[in-house]
Amino acid sequence: MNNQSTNQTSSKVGFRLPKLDRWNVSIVTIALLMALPVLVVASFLLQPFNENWTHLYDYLLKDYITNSLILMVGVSAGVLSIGITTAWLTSMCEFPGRRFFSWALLLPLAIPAYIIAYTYTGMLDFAGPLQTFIRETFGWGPKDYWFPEVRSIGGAIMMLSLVLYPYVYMMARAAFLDQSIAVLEASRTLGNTPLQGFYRVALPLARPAIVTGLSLALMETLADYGTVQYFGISTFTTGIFRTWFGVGDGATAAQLAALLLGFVFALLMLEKWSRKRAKFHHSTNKYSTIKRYQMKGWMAVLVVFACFMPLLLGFIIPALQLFVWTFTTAEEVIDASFFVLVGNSLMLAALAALIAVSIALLLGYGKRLRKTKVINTSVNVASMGYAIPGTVIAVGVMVPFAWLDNSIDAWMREHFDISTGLIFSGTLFALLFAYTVRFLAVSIQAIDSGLGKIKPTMDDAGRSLGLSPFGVLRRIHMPIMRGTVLTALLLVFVDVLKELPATLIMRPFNFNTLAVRAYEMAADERLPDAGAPALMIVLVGIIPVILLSKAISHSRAGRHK
Amino acid sequence: MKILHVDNVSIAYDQNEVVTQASFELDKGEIGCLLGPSGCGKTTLLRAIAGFEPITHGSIKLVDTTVSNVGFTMPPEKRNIGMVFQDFALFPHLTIAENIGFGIRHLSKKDKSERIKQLLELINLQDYGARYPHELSGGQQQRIALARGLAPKPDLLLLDEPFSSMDAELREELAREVRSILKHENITAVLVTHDQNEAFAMADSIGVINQGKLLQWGSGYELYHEPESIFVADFIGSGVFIDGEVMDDNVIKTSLAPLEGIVPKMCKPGCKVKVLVRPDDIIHDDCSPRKAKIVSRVFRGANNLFTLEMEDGTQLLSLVHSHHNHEVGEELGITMEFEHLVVFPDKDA
Repeated sequence: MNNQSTNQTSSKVGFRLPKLDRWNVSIVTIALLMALPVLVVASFLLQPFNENWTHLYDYLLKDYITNSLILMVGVSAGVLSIGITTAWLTSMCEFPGRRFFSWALLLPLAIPAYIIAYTYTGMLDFAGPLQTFIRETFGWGPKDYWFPEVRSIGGAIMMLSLVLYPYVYMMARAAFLDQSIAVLEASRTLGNTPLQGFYRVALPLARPAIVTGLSLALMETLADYGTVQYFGISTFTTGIFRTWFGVGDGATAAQLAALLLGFVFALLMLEKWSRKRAKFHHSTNKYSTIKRYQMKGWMAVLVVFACFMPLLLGFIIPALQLFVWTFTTAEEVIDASFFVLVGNSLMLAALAALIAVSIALLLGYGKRLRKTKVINTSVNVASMGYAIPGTVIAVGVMVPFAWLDNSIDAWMREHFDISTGLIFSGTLFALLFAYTVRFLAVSIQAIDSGLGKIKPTMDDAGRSLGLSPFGVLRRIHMPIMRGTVLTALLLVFVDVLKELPATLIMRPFNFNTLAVRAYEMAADERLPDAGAPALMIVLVGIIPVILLSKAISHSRAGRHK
Repeated sequence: MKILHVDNVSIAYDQNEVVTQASFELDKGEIGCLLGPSGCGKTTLLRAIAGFEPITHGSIKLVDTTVSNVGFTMPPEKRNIGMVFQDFALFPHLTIAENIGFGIRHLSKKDKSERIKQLLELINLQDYGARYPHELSGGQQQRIALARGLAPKPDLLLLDEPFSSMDAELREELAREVRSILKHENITAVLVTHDQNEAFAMADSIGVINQGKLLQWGSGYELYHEPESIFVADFIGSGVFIDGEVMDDNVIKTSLAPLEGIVPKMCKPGCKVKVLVRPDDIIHDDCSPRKAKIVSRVFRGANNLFTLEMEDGTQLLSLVHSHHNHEVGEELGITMEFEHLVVFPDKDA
């Protein structure tokens, strides 16, 4: 009997294709669609390079690469020094305002890099209030004094560092809080001062988390278009725009995008590698309350100053500038067309959020119900977009959609003598598709963490208490997931609202959003008029920062009892 | 009345058979236990009884209905079973009262709140109805999970390692408490555990499972004193095997002494065998001429567990009353009392 049953089962040995059920088919399809832009862009590396490329290669590419590298090195130094210092101080030291700073230090995350660039340019430019004040006070002419130029690569590094350091801050802080106090105490008993303990124990333990934060910041740096364009720095993103719009050469733009992808993948590898290492760096599961080093006297003043500067420069000053601009220009700027703008932005962001979260739910449940390699891989592929710059995605979406439109148009003309024109490209559909590719990962992450809270045994418990599978969904999952879904919607919503380059490339003719309007006003040297739309974006952007800060203040394990 | 019939049940995932032809039955009100090391298939068998896993051979009958068969699995919600999970699986969005009432929503409001009140009293948490699960301690959550499983008055209650997340000191106490609650409600139950003390404290009858096979089904006494296989003898309690040779129908020659007792039929005179020596078979007696050297000593409060070495190098275990204080290295006088001789043919010889 025993033999018989083993024989029966062993007859199935051999390679088996995944079953073609609804989950498999839909999830693999989604993954392929999400991977499409990247595949399209990468495929252009196999295409012949034309004379535009030769020109690019001879004169511009060197600049793109050096500038991108300088930016990355500079931003690394900036975000690491600000992020690690503030994370260590707020997690390990006690000083007046520590609790306030631990969430307020996240606020710069609400300001897109291009917007902070506009505000500082407005303040520090030759015609700005500061230089004007200096000239009037000392009676100097334009050439009588030296003032640092904001619109420079150094300025861009400053701007990007000021709004991107929270990535490092967040990851490093979580890592510091996650560390066992016993490990630090052990280092003290072995003769290390607190500072030596930091360098020799805490920092190496937190390194994987810090590298993850850094790679996120650098991905944003590579993706940035608004800041570098405004400051006149040639990088890959500005190069792609120039080739696409200025030269009108899609193929070369795509080839440039493919090169940029190479940089991104290097960062992705770095991030994956550091995440993997993070598992080995978890020092304990036993937590005791942190005994923070008490800061007193001038040390306390110094610490408060160190925490206040990033907040002041990265949030308070630019936000105040936006307020001032908004109030001084309100009468002309805030009219009917402004509300159309707001409506467009909200509608676009809401639609994209709905689409991304629905897909994330489908993927999340697929992964939960069918624990197969195919589905896991598909979900990983589908969540790759967060690393891909909006410019690259835009190129990768526009190229196949334009081809599709042309093909349909040609076919229809040949057979029915009807010209269909543009059906996909240059429509909201294409733009929403690009947003989904870019921001799906954000919603997947949120949904996954929510689903993780519903243990599989809860499903079983529901079934054993008389619920059908649908009943489990309705009475257990829906009430628990409600908050998660709202969070996921909100995160995508805000990201879409802030997004600039993809919107700029793909928006339908005459369709404007807040981000695009801010960009256009700044490009026209009408900075104050950029204030109102920029302020709207920042204000909405604060909401997810509050959510995040709530999450990190509850994040220390073993503390909630 | 028989409540549960598990008849020749096999369960396989893809090519791997996880449970092989397990059979047992439970009477109304009887508490059974599946005991075995981790990964032995005991939880899989429990989940098959619950209806979460299909079976590939045999059948499962609950009261008078066949609930699982080859090619047929009645869904769990139709089986009228209750289940208590290892991680309790309390619903975090519901209060304690709502959790307990989750499976009895078809009752009228009055009956429902009455049943909830009754169960809260039973588990001695009367004042906790309005709280949420995360506000309670592990032991309290565990009792809530039990009450939730009991609320619909299931025909059968399944408990999957229900004490494994508890502190070791709490486990036995909780196991006794849960037993008295189940007995009070006259509920038939199956418990899954890897901890034999838990099994002894909870269950009326115990099945030892290893590598998917149900090796022996019986009371704790039977498993300890009359193990039918080397695995069971080794897994339950402690002890050592010593070599022996069958002399005639009921005498075995060993390095300790000739031992008398019932010898399995398949062991003919001249056969090499293994004899199980439990720590309680070796009795300390200062007057005995037979001496053994103390190799190590573990203090256990009421008694000491000694590891002894005989002259020929054979090692034995002995439980000795705590008042007798002997140091490692000393000679200890011993006698042997084999009330149950446990003998297996020596496969290696």
